[in-house]
Amino acid sequence: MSNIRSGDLTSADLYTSTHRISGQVETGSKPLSDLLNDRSQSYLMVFNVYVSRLDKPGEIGAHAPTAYLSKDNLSFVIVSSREVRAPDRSRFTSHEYVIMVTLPGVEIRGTFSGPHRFDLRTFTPATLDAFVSLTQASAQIVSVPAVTLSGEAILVNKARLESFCLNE
Amino acid sequence: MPKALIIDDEIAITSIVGRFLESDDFEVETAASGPEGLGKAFSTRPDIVVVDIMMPDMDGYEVCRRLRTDPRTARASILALTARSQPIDKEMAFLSGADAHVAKPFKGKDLVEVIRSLLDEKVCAGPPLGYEILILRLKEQVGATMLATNLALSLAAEEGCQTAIADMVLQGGMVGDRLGLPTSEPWSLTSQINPDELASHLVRQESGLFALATPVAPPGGQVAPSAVTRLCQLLGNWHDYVVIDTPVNLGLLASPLLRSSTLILLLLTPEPTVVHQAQTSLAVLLQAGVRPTKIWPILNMMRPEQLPLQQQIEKLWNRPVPAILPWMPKECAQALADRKPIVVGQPESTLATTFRSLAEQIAQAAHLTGRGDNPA
Repeated sequence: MSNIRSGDLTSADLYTSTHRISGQVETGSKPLSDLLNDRSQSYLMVFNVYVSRLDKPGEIGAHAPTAYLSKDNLSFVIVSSREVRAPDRSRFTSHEYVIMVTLPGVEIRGTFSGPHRFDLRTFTPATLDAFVSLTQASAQIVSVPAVTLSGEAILVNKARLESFCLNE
Repeated sequence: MPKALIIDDEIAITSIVGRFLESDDFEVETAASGPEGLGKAFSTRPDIVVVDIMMPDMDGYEVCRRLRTDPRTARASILALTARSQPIDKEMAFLSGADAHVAKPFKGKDLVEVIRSLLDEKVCAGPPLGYEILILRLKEQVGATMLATNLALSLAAEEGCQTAIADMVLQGGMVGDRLGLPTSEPWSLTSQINPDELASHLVRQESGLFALATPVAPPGGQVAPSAVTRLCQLLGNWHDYVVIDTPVNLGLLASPLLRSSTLILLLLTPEPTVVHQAQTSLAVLLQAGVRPTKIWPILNMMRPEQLPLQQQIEKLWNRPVPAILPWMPKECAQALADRKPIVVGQPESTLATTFRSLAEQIAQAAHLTGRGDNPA
């Protein structure tokens, strides 16, 4: 994948409810999660974009040098752990929950760091971060259950959540 | 010094990987796109190709597929180097023909280790043997194409080796049909045929065997000897074994084919006059300058009654007959009906075992004698 931009480019796998979009995002010195959670910009600019349909996530269907992605319409993003801002390890975020969430056409299982006393409002769109991070996470596409997508971290768009299952 | 080709549109990657490989005694070529990489791969024939998957003109999966289906690069090791690191991406890379998948970012030392282990795995390393086997028949309908196809498939099964079968029966060649291949594009064999053109007519069968359909018979029905020589040279440069099915009347094919062949299998069938025919053929071949050790008699017992043929032929050749194909009409009919050679469709049958045993004897002779030499 070529760099057509200077600066710090981060490879990312971005998923909507229908497509997988692989490309590079100019993140500078910040983790990608900061860009996704930046509410001042509703679009994310991605370079060297390769698009796959979600029912055939391994096949490359299209390529474009640049694409603008609507952050609201992203379901989740698979990234390396360094692309996620480290959670605040205060007494409010000192517990790890094994959870499963469902989004349109996708199930994601992983670990969520949250406060001891779990509050579902952590997951509501009204709270500060639009994307919440799950670690040791894997995603399964409902229409292609044999395919598992995984990464060090998955950033889930809370606005796209359909259900949230807590396994304590 | 092993040859490596790095295909990546990111110059920084080709440069980094190139430096790592050069410091590990590789001869390195680079290409910035899939089409450029394929061109370099076909001309330089590298031992290892490192290919990026996400490239704009042609993605790496397509590059892998084309490398695998071209006889010039089919035996190269392929490493897919990509930022797409999901298990499905690995699976796609393997399905496309890659031998290994390394995710970006990567450590140079690890990459070199993977490449080294890929090269160590190749059993038939080094240049192709170019061992050419001619199938000669004394008359039509004696099972020569059956022998050619089953032998070629058995040789292709030898690990790490690459085999081709060429149909030189200009009128009514049946190799493609016996292998169950789709009808091929008509093509002409001329002395000017270039490697790209010839490679495009070779079809890679599921087993890994490359098949070349019979060329269109030129006006007058004869192919120029220089064209046959050119064909044999190119096929021999790309493959370890080349099996050539020939017509009863060799005509102008005789001189170039007899000269370039390493081994001649003369197919004999149990008929009252066969010993006389074999004697005559042997005399003609010897007169043409073929060494006797280069000619192996093969018996196809096409009749239920057993004639004392084997002893007579062994006496004539002064050596044991390497293969006697047993009388098995049902199996042969089944293979024809299914368009599936016996070694593939009926691998447990005695006939299949006989073909494999013949292939083993040829492989032993080939590895003992080496490229271009006659078998002992």
